[in-house]
Amino acid sequence: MSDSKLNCHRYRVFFTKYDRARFIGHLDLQDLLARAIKRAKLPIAYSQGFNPHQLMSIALPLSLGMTGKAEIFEIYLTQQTEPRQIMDSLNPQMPAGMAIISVQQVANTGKSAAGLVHKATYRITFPNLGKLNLAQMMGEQEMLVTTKSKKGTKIKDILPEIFHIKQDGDAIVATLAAGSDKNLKPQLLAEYIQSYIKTSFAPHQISYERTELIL
Amino acid sequence: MYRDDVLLRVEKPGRYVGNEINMVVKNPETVATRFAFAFPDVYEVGMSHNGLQILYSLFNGREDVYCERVFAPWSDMEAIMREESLPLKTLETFTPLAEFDFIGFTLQYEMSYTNILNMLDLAGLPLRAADRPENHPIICGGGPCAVNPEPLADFFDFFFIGEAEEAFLQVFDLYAAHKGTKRQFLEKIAGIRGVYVPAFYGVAYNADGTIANFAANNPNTPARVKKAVVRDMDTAHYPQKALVPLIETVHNRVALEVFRGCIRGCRFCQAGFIYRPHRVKQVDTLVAQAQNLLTSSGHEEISLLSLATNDYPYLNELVDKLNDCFASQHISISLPSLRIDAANQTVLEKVQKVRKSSLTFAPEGGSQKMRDIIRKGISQQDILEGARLAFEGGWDRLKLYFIIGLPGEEDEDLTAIGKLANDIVEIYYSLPKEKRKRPPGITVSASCFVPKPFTPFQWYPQKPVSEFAAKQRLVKAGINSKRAGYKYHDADVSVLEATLARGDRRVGGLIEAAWKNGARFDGWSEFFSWDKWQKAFEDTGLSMDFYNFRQRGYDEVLPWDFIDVGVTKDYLIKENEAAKAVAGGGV
Repeated sequence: MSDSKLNCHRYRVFFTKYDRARFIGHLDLQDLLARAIKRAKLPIAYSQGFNPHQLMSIALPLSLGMTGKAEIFEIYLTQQTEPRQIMDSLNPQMPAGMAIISVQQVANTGKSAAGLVHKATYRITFPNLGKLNLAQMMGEQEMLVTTKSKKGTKIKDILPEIFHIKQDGDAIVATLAAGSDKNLKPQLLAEYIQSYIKTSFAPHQISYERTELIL
Repeated sequence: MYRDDVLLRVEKPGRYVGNEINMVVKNPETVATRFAFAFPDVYEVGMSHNGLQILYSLFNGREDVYCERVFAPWSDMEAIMREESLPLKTLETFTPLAEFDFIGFTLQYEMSYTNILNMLDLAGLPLRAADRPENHPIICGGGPCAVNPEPLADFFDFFFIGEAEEAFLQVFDLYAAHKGTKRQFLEKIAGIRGVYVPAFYGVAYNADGTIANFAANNPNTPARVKKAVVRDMDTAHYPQKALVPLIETVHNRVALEVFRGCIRGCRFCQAGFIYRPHRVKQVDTLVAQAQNLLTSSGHEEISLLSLATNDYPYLNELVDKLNDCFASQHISISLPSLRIDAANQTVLEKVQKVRKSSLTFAPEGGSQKMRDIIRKGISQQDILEGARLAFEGGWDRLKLYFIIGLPGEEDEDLTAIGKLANDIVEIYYSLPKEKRKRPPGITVSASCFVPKPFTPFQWYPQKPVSEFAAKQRLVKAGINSKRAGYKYHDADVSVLEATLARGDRRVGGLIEAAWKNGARFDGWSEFFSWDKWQKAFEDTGLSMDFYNFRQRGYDEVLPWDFIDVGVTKDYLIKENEAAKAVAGGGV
């Protein structure tokens, strides 16, 4: 940790990302937040070095097109500031579809939210899940999906990375491994479900909402 | 808005959803005039354009006008729109373009002309003004390419020549008060300085294809159309708030226009002539404008814009004041157009405090003869000294821009480009060793000369693609330092650019044919197709020999002669004769 962080005050900011804001990708979200912080005139701290940047970090990228109910970013401010004031000054700077829902002050030592996040809960809504027997599916020995990367294709067992799952009509609510250590993309679970029920939907017919990041 | 399932199928859906910071929200029901500002290129390019920011703010500054934006949809979006018959809509209210009072296209680049036709078609409108019924929007255009609007004349109801900040608002005044036909309205506005209504002018051609006569056929229109000019840049409209995109665009920064026009008169440069006169803003004006734009945008960079920012007379003072006011807020300053010389070495230091990446340098001509022909006004000594100062200042990446195919150019002028690059590399190695952190990188970039209207070279024949290719090989052969690389541009785009830049009304048919053949985004190498344009020439019977490769005479009626851009034909002739004298009659 750089010295600059030790003298600062750390805040964890929870926000929503819905509607049109779901079409803002991760890197664009970083820039958008940096400009919002600047417009809100918050006493944001900057990194040291030749090319200083704001001490702000997003806990976990949210894929373009997905919505988020309680996303997280953290900021370091140079002055002690009331969490309520941070929320009130940031909210008018959010584009439609995004809102700050709460702000907590956290100790400025210790891991960042990005380092702490290890699980995430998603609500995955399908056009129709009538054919799914979830208990039977989860009773299988393994759940194999094929993943593609630059190096080629790999077979991955996603079962150990699903911590909780339930069905709610045509939606699946599942808590999956998330973060820098192990990360299960909800699209892979959706893919497995489609192959399990032998029904294929176009990618845009399935919607994803991230409802919680578990630190 | 477009449906979510449409947006989820396209690359970068953020292009089509609006919702940007400082987007103007009005009730369309309560305004007298709805204006769609149409940028015929992709969102990221259009949103980086400062003219859009100025006009959006100027037009929306009027309570009775709602100005919305629309950009050219990328090919993936166009495919879905055509498949599902979705009309092109604005980003503010998602209103189909056909429902607007005006659609105003900005004409920044000839190679976006097919996109204009594509946008009209996606709006469900007939392309030609004569085919559009009374209730369709009035289609207008403006911007630098409007100084020769003739290739687009058949598609537009009117053009606005020059700067819109003052005179264009009269168009809105007359529209709000107007009762009657579209034609009657066009007759009313034809008297406003800068307005050109192509339907009110007729053209007759000679047997050889040149123009026999170009004249007004309506008593309400002036014989010549005079460019509209802003008198005082300090009081001219400038946005208080910046429109800030939510997705990455080409430029994400506050744009501060420090002056308009150019004190130099480089003979190839259209901008240097059409943006005259040279008008500067005062430092205090600029600092106040920077303050407004930074506060409203949250940007952390200010870019000082103009045709040649080094020529701003108070540059040192401005940079000092901006640094005094904003450096503590982590705001940096950048200069996009640079000219290195001793006078501004200190400015460079103040501007680029952080990243010493690369500097751009535009000698344009490799030999002194070529630089004199184009009236560049810099010597070999200036260039080498500038490079030495840059190297000493810690920059070790230089980009050098040249133009090939200029009037009077001979083979040795092309090999001189490489020699200059080699000499610059040697300058680097003449520096003491402790000043050299790593080997230098010199990039030579050569673009193909495009003769443009209202320049002293407007009569000059352009070189065919094959000759440009030979010239490029000569340049490449002349560069023999390992530290200098060569980048060149495909000549075919430049040749078409010249056809469209100097075209007459018949070229409209060519653009339409190319569009029908599928031409889109012609300025983008991944889309550009020479074959589609070749076929368009065949379809229309027009020839490049006539439009590109022919020497025009001083007495020929040029398609853009009826526009008074502020420089006289006599002056351009005098300048061209001066260039010829340098070349020793070789032009």
